[in-house]
Amino acid sequence: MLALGKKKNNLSRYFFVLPAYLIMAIVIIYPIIFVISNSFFTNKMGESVFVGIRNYRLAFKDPLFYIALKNNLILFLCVPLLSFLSLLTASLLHAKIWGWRIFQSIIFIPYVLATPVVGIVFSYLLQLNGVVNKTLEAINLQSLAKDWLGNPQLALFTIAGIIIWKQLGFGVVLFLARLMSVDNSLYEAATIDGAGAIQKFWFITIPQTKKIIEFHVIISLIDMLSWVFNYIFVMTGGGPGNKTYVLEFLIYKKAFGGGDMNIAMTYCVVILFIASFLITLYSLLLRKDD
Amino acid sequence: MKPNQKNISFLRIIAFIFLVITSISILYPLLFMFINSLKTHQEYVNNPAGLPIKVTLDNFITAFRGKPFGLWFANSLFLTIAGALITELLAFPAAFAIAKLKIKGGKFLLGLTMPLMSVPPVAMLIPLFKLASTFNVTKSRGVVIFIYVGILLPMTIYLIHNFIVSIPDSLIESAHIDGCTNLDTLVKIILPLTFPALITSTLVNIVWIWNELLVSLVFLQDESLRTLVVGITLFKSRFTLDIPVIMAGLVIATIPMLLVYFFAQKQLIGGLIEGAIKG
Repeated sequence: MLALGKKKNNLSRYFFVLPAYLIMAIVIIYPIIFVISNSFFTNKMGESVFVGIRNYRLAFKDPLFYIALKNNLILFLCVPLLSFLSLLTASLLHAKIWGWRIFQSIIFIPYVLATPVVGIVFSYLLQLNGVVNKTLEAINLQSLAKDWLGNPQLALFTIAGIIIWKQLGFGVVLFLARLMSVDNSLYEAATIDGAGAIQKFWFITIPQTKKIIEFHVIISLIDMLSWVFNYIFVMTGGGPGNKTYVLEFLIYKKAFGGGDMNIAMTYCVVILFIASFLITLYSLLLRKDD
Repeated sequence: MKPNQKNISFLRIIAFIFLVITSISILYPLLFMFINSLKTHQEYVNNPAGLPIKVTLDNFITAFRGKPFGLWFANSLFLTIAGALITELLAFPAAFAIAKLKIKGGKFLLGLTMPLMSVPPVAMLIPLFKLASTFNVTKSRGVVIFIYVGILLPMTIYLIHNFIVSIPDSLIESAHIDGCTNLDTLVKIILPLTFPALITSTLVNIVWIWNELLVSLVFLQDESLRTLVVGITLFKSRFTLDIPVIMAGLVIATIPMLLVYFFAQKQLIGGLIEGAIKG
């Protein structure tokens, strides 16, 4: 009886993981295989025809693709700023500036808000005759009043600012948690040696949080690649003049806005390629640190 | 010593001002949404920035009358609860087996979670939509829940695994010696110990599902199936004239998550950090 029970136990272990991994295989892995293989086919009157790399040639000819790629790269360039601001804010909170607990609670609020909610509120605040511009005019800074989301040169940077607004809190609590576990004697010794706040930030805080900085940078890069659709969809719809397209939005438009499904899947392969590059980079960094 | 002391307090004042400005820039958009949901349209046009002179709840009534906000709210609630619960129900045993039952390939299964987390959902949508079409279930809540569960499982397994790993092996061994099956051990020994991690990951998932746009936008196109977030997003593009009514819609969509945050701030933040730092 006991032996039988043991045997059952041995097999049953696998049933603990099976359902979860089966669902992940269907929801995540099957689509990856599907988009890669279908990027080499096209649809001719309901039938799949192999076309080699034709889709890639067409996809790389589309000027929209380069706008989208460039915009994702611009968003990537905002990541160092996001990480720096998060670390700076976290170290201010860590220095127990008066009211730091309340500040922490406030700074994290945007994390629980839906991106569409954030996007809609900001699109009213930032209208040409919206509150932001009116305030700027009221304090005699008319020259700074801009058509934040309507100006093709500016719109993407406005969106980047709103993404930073929403993502700051996550980075702050992440860095703060790490700073809390840093040995305080490091800071005390530096104080005795006459180090100022900026030197302490540069020579203690940054090296001590290096691993978390790396993690935060990679996570944020993935966010800027894989999770910005909502902002674009709600605030600009890719406009003005298609200047705020990003890869995700391009795929959505091609797939569900009356474009070519196979071309859309070709762009999926591109986005997956960049994502896997980021993941590989991260695992290399982890290995180097160990 | 004295000038240094002065210098430090000066820096602290600068830091304080920086934090105040950051906090105002975070709170003002929220305040803008709340106060304008309580104004008449005319008052919004005249005075969008300030507090309402005369508070009105008409916008909320208009929102509920004009659109099935109540139904959308119920839809969101249903997807959120079902998705979050099913994710936990599947992630918990999987994380336990990987952490403690020495299954073959356990390391590989755990290593898969991080890459799986980084796959952009938009790349999954076309194949999943086609798959759902072949079974004629594109307009199904069940399919959307299934997809949510699939997207959330990697992070949830990872988070719970990190927690279970720290439970001593001896507890599980002695349970086995007492004749407990793996399922008994999971429910009687591990579950009470892992409860905080389960609560935390559930909260993170609840926030994620409630705020999700893309999957429900593509699958749940019938107005009767819509979620609140999709509803207000499309609502905004069609009824842009009456801004206070839109703000009322946003308030309705936001309050549940703010409540979650105010009552469970520690658990929510703790979970996010737990998942990240040990990575």
